[in-house]
Amino acid sequence: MAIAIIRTLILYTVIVVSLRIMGKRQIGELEPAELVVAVLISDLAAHPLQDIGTPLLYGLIPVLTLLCCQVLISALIIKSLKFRALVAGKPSVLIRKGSIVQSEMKKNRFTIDELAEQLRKKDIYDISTVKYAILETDGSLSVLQYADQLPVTPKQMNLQTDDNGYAVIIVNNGRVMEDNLKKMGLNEVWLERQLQQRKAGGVKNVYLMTVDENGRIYYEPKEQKA
Amino acid sequence: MKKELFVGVFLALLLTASFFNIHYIGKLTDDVRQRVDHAVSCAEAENWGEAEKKAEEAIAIWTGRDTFTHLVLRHSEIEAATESLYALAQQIYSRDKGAAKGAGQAASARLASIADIERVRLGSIF
Repeated sequence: MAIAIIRTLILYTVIVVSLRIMGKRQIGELEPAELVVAVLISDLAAHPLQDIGTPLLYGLIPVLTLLCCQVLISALIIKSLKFRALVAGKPSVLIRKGSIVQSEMKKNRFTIDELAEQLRKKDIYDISTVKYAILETDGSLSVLQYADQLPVTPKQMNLQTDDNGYAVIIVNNGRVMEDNLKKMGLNEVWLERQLQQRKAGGVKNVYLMTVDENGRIYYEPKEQKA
Repeated sequence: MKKELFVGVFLALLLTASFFNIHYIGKLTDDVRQRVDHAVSCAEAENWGEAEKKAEEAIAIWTGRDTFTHLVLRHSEIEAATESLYALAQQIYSRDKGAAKGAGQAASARLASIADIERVRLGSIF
């Protein structure tokens, strides 16, 4: 039993580190080569976990080999566009200037129903409003609608808007995010003053506090226990 | 670029280690098989003292590499090989010439198959 636990911990650590080294993309939308690695890793790791008669190295070495291949292939993909096209494929234009490109639909084995479903997921219910639809190499659909279908922006309306900028978390569930505080050019004294103004009664009573580039603060105290 | 370089070197090291492993397992099984074959020929010549000595040496060499073999070989394969070596010793202790020859051949074939599985051959890959 102890062997199974130790093996699980080792494999878990190796896989988490491997996925971390492979990069964030591995966890999100997967391209073909990345999908192969993700599927294989889970299967390879399962065998030595289920059968303690199989050496752990039989799981670890293939996982590490896949990690090496993935890192090297990713580097080659960045360096060579041809290699990228070979491994990841090219995006396919399914709708061009409002017209469905049937040859591309057929080539990608993409049905009208699937196209309509993907568009609905983007809140587009009328296909005639789409100017371009591109099937990306990770299988997602990018859509550009006709200009008269797009939401009006403040710029188009010549309206002045305040740019809030990026709101940074200063207090997260009673803990001060000191790095974020420094990045925003603030300090503990400023934080203490803000908490006093809100009668927070200390950082430990704050659930969330953010501040944006304009100094605007969002404050949420912790719920009081009944 | 550093990461890619590190990974490339690591992959090369893994490959080198795997070839070293093939060589080491081949050498280990050859050493044990030599003693098994010697034990069988001594048993056939009814030189039981020498046959016992060689069979015990074979067991000692094989079980002495226990940590290494358990790291790189399936445990079921190791156990099967160990059992076959003890079976040979048992036939030698009971002074059964014919049975010792059969047990020796079985042990030798078992060890040869372990080395064969590890070798890079079309049969091993597919």
